[in-house]
Amino acid sequence: METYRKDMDVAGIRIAVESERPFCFTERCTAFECLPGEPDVTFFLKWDTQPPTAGEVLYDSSKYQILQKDGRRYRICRWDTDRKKIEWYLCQTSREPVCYEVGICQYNRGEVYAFNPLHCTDLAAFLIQFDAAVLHSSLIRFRDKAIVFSAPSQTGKSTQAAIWEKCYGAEIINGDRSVIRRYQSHWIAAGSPYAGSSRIYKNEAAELAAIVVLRQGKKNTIRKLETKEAYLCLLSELMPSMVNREAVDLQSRWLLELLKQVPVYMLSCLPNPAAADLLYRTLEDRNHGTK
Amino acid sequence: MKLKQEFVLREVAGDKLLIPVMGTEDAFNGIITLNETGAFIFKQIEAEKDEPEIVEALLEEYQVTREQATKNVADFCDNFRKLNIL
Repeated sequence: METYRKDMDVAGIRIAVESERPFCFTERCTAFECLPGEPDVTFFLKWDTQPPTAGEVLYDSSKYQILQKDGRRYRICRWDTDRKKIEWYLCQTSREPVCYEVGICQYNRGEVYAFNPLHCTDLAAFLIQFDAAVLHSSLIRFRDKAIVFSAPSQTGKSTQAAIWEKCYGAEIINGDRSVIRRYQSHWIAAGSPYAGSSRIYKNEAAELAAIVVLRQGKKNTIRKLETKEAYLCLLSELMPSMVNREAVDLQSRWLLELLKQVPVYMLSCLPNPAAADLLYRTLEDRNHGTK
Repeated sequence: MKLKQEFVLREVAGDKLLIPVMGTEDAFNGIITLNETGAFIFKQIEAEKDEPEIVEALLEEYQVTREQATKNVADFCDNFRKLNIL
């Protein structure tokens, strides 16, 4: 039987998807598609199959259920409002190499199935296997280094990124969710297929120079955060795992390692170029060893 | 006693933080800072010990009076009950 395969690359994590039926990536994943190579993780699509009907329910929401049975954890997605029809389920079948089985249940809409492998996973648990996590942040590249602006929604992440683009010629790589990864002894920030309302999601990465926690203020001030404050600010903006204790544990350790090597600043600011100038001068001073 | 949800206890810059594993949509999602005694009591609760057992454990571990230990454990458990996590 013929096998169809497509690959994508997110933050240097090579993802292969294999299927016995044709499929395509969703529009945003297409930007991350790459030529087939040695994968870090493989998703096998199974068609016209069903997840187990009984097991221990670990999590239940309007759309997802997480079921544990026979030592395996199934993430089940329903597509209808009465929560009976199952769209797909995902189960990790191997840790080394990392493999997942994705059951596509009752797909008969005619068109080629559009698949986003990241969407199926508990993303935090998935990424931490590769020393990575998603930070709610906008990401810019400036002089070949990455700067991320992290804050709750509506604080001004996109605004600051846009000011840097306009005033300093920085490139906006992602408008809402960046992947931060420890990779070959460096910390990198990379674009992801998730971009919120910004619609900016480039498949680019750069070495991470600084993380900037944004707060709205009545004047522009900046300070470097101590470990605990930085930890609390960033933990609340990291995409968490809902049910995977091991992933929560690993992610919290991962964050401590990040803070040992990457400076975190708190920029309390107005949405104006002077805020960007203050950050620019602070980073310049740091590069020249004066702060 | 049993916790209603799981937590990860992490030491950050000398402070002990409880990070929740959320489990359900309406689960507690805050981060709790504990002192050393609080972290000790939390570990006892995690081991599903009841209040009198925790008081005894506290008396063995720390130089406190029974009255102080009883009050510490009761206050700690009350706070966790108010947060609906115990």
